[in-house]
Amino acid sequence: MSLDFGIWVEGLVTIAMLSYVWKENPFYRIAEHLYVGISAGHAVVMAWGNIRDAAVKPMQEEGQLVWIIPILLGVLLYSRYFKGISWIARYPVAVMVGIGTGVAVRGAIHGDFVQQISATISVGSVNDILLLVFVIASLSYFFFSRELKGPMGTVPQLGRTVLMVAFGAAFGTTVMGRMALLIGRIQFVLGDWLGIMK
Amino acid sequence: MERLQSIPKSWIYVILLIVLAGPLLRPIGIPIPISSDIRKSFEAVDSLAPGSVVVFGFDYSPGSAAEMEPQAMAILEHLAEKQVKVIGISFQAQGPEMATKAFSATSWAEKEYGVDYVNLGYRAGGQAAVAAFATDIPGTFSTDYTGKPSSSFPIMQGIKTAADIDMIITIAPGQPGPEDYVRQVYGTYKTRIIAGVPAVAITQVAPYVQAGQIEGILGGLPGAAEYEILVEKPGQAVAAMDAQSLAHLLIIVLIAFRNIPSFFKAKEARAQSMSGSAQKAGRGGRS
Repeated sequence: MSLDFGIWVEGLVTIAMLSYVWKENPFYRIAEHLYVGISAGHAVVMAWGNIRDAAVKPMQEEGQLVWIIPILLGVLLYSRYFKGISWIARYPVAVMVGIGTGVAVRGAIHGDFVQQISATISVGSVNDILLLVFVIASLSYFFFSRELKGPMGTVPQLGRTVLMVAFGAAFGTTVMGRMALLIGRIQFVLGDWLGIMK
Repeated sequence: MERLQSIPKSWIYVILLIVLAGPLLRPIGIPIPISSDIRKSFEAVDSLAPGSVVVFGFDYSPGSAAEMEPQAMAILEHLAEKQVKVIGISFQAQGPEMATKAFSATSWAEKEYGVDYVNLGYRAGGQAAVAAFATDIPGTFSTDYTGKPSSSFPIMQGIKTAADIDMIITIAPGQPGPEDYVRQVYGTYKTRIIAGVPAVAITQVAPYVQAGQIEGILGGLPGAAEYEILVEKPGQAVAAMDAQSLAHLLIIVLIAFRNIPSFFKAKEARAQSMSGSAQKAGRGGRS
């Protein structure tokens, strides 16, 4: 059994969190509040570290005064807490939305559209043919302008089946992931904490 | 049959605990076949020449460490063996601590900090920060995790943009993750990318692997286990695979127990309704 204080804290908090499957209890609540509090505190420290290293230091040590602009915009975000001047917060939000959208769209056009479509229509193997057929079938399922009837109606039906298979695969991998997280905790309890696992 | 459908939840928890803990205490040794995706990832890392520079994205937190940490450790062991240089970065607030833990628990602990590897810490901003990193690495990560200027480290000499990097390896359970590196880095610089993702994200990232934008992918704990076997350093993931396989088997059995009675009940009801309608039709014929 471990004699490390940190390992004991981790072990007891793990048991407290897992006790929720029995029923909601004070130990679970304490562990939950600890998690929320520590995560929030950690996030604040890391955020301040970012502002200090990326903006304050270059401004102080290298005289890069341009960093005043993002710092000022950041401070203006807090104006929303003051009645009368809360409208000022819209400007930094607008800047953030504009930059965020611009960066995302620039990358998405090439990475998610051009290259993905190009790879989908490049047929070189049986897998590629299946992929192309299933992509067309799935897209046809979401074609709402006109109902596809007769022999053409089988295409969206195939699309529906393909989507069901994809949902099944996604659910299966979700179960696999959740099991992995639980195994990780059991490995910790039996191995690092209690020392009964080789 | 109906009793099978109403297994109490507490029984399921106990059975699951036994199924998971049993093989961890007494391993069975269920074979772990190597998938083509993992082999491709291994071969991509293996193709790096000694002295190559790899950016390693520790984009995970303790909450997802059970799946992600074994992947990171297995790849780090391989990188150490290949004698490449590793620049650790993170776009996830708790990533720098995960990087410190991973470096100290692998062969990197014996290497020289700042020369062979460095931990540049966390930068906020999500996808925008990834875009900034691609165009200006020392500007985006101006200091390391402890606050020392990144330009003061020998490993950072000559590193300006993503074009100066031989490979990016990102271990990420969410956003920012492999998709963001594809959008902001691969599109412009064609830097090689290897992604370690949780099992649940495999289907999301697979299209990028299919398109060749990501060279290799490790999925969940099985991905880590296969990589550990390839680097000949079986660890936490290999030890967990028996439990993982048995847990899947248990879930399949539980799904069957819950659904087979319903299936037979539905069949019975259908047969009854058919015989009822046949009798009605028969009466109709006589009258």
